[in-house]
Amino acid sequence: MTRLASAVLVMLIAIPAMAEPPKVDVRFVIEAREFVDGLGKSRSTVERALSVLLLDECRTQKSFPFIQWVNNDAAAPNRLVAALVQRKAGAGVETLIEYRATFKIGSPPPTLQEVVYRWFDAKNADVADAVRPWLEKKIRKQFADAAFRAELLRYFVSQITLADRVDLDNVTRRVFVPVPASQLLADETHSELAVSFFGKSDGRPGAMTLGQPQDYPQAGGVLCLIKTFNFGPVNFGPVPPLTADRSEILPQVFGPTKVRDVRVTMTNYLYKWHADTSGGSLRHD
Amino acid sequence: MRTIVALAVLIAAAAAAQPLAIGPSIRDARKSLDAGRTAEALAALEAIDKSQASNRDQARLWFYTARAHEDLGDEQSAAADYTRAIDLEPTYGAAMNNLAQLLVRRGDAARAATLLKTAAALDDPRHLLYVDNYAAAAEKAGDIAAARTAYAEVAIAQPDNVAAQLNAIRTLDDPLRMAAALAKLSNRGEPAAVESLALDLLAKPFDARGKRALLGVVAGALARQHVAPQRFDAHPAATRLAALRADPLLAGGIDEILLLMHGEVDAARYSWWRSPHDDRFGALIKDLGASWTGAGEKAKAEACYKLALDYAGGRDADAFVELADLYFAQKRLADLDALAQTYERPMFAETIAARDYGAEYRFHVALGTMYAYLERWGDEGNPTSAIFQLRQAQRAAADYNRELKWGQKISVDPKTIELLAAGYAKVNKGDRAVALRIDSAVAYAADGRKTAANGVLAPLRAEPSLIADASYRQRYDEVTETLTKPMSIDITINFPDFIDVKLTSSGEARLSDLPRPTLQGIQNALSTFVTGDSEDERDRAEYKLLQLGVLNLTAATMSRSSGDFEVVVGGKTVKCHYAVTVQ
Repeated sequence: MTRLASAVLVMLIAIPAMAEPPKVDVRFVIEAREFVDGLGKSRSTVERALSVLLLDECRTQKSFPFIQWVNNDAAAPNRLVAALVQRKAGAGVETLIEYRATFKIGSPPPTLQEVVYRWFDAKNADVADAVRPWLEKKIRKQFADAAFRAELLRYFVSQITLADRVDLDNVTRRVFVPVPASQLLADETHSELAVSFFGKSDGRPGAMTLGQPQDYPQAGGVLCLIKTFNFGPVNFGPVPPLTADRSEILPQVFGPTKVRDVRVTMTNYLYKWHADTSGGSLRHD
Repeated sequence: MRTIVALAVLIAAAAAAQPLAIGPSIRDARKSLDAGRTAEALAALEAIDKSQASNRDQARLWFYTARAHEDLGDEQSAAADYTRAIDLEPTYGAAMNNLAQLLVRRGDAARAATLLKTAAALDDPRHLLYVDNYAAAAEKAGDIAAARTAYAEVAIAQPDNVAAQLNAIRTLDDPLRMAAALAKLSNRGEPAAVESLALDLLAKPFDARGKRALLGVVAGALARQHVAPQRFDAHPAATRLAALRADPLLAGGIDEILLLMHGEVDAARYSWWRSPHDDRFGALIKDLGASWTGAGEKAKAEACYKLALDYAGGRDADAFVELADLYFAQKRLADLDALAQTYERPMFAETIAARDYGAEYRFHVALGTMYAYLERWGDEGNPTSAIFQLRQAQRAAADYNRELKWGQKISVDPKTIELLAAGYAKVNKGDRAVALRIDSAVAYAADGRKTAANGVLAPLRAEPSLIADASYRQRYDEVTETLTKPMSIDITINFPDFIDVKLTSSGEARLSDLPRPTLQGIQNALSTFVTGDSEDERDRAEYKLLQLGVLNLTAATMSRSSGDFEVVVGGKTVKCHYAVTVQ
């Protein structure tokens, strides 16, 4: 048993330098006809300014700093577009900001929408200096709202793959995720990761949730506790997290030879304000 | 050969004088610790020969040995190890911090606080962690004043750290200050956390005024979370509010919140929240209206907006517009008219008295647009008509722009002009329509708004014969000529070179009685408040003022040019006034 554990840990320690965080291209586009016509050539200036604002808002500590948010990178595999659109309402049209996600595997329907001009509101759709600050205010307010950020996490951020493999430590039964703590910046008390995978032999889907990500700098990642595990006959969680009998079964059903297409994503996130701590104590000097 | 031997001897002698480097061994032990192989790590650490190591290395060795003992649950040995580390390295902040955390767990918060205070005074990049932990230890040790100051330092340094904000608020000594800070945090997007803390604080033995202020925070937080009435009973606040009903200072207010959430819309049932009036309860009523609108329950939504208007004494432009939109959607013209006739006067009295022309402009545009779509064109003397409302919108914008010292003016929307001109044409005031189009086009062109100018002139281009008046014909020709040329706009923006913020005080105590850093903080935050470019920047400045103990900050008493607030100094209230002068 000890020899097996050592082998796993040797493998962990031999992990090469970690890849960059996943890239997301974020941009603001104006599609609402009234604004496209009204703003004319200044539309691109407004779009650029709002794209930069979105970028800043996505990167802040209260948002999702564990992702590499970029702008104007057509090669980025994930994209978040905030579009100004119109739809019929009342006797006129109302204008909304609609968030649209695109991943490698496709685009879910946009569910995050907020009306920014009611049908009877004055818009001054031809004045960039009126439209831009109005929309900036709306976007800032959205990102300041904890409920909006939770929705954005659910709709978009939780779909982005942070790592495509994990390793089970057969001794501690913790799961190693190859994303450095300095990149994940996740508070261990609230943050939660989801791992999805498929059985190699039968393609059966499996999933686990991981909590308490703790820095494991020597291998360039974090070690997490398993909160729930659901794969074939093995199903446990969330409380108690891992019983002794389950603990023995895990290595028999989960490992690089048994599962494929592993995806690690962030499902709950809180920024870690005091790095390298656990319960207020420092883990390193 | 002799030289080489001599050199070798020298190197050996030098090596003997140097302490033995044990860094690599510590690194190996750290790896095992981080991997969760604690026993292995401890064995490795204990096997390292400390006798030849420097004090620093020995101290580090004890630090990691302490960590291993902690992980194994041996807190006594861990405490002894951390103590040894600190004895060897008296400025070892990390060891002080961890020992203090252990001491707190073991019930010795006072000693922990002393250690953390020392750590926080070090020049260490983990300063904020030490301050945060010091605050918690001081609070546990009963030194609330020290905890309050320390929590405030963390909260100011990390404005987006919600836990830090809540700690800073929780340890304030005045429920009114707590309520003001909580309201601000709720407005900054954290209503759920605010609601939870406000409900905790309501259980404390505060006076009636304090409890009322905190219950107002709960009402506001419920509104901001858009808790649908259908799901209220499952919301955490439902049970917690019910549990607080036994408190006679709160029972009336809680009963009325519960009544409201369960659908009661009889205005006579809401007396507790009327004495005095609280905008946050009004916001909760309106939010319920929005929930019912979203659920397609028009009658319930209407009842809520009517209640909101009644609660505000007819002076709630948002509730008015929502109600008007509901009537419009159902083509209930008589109700829309009755609404306008009933509330027009109190609404305008309020907005004009407060010089809130921006809100008045939005109100008139909304109502005017609705009447225009209903083709109720009317005239300038009839409040239940498009022409009256859209003209009032123009007037409110002009008043606003005239009052504005600096900042962005209200530009009258070309769509408003279009609707008003259409109205004039419909009531056979074709000349007024033509004049309005041409005057507006001239104004838009002067601002470089070619699209807007061309838009309002389009009907005249299609039918130039509409322009009967010779002088307007000439203006039309001039403006159309201007619009064919490339636009060159000269804008002179007069930014003030300097501004002075003069702060004066009156009342039981003086500003100079305030501690110097607090007064400096108030002055800095105040100057950011009056000069801040973005609303966010001003919001943060206002929040900082609240954290520094400033009270009664409201939009009604504070502007970019002057304002009033209060600060409590040694239990006495200082009334402050600031005035901005532009140089």
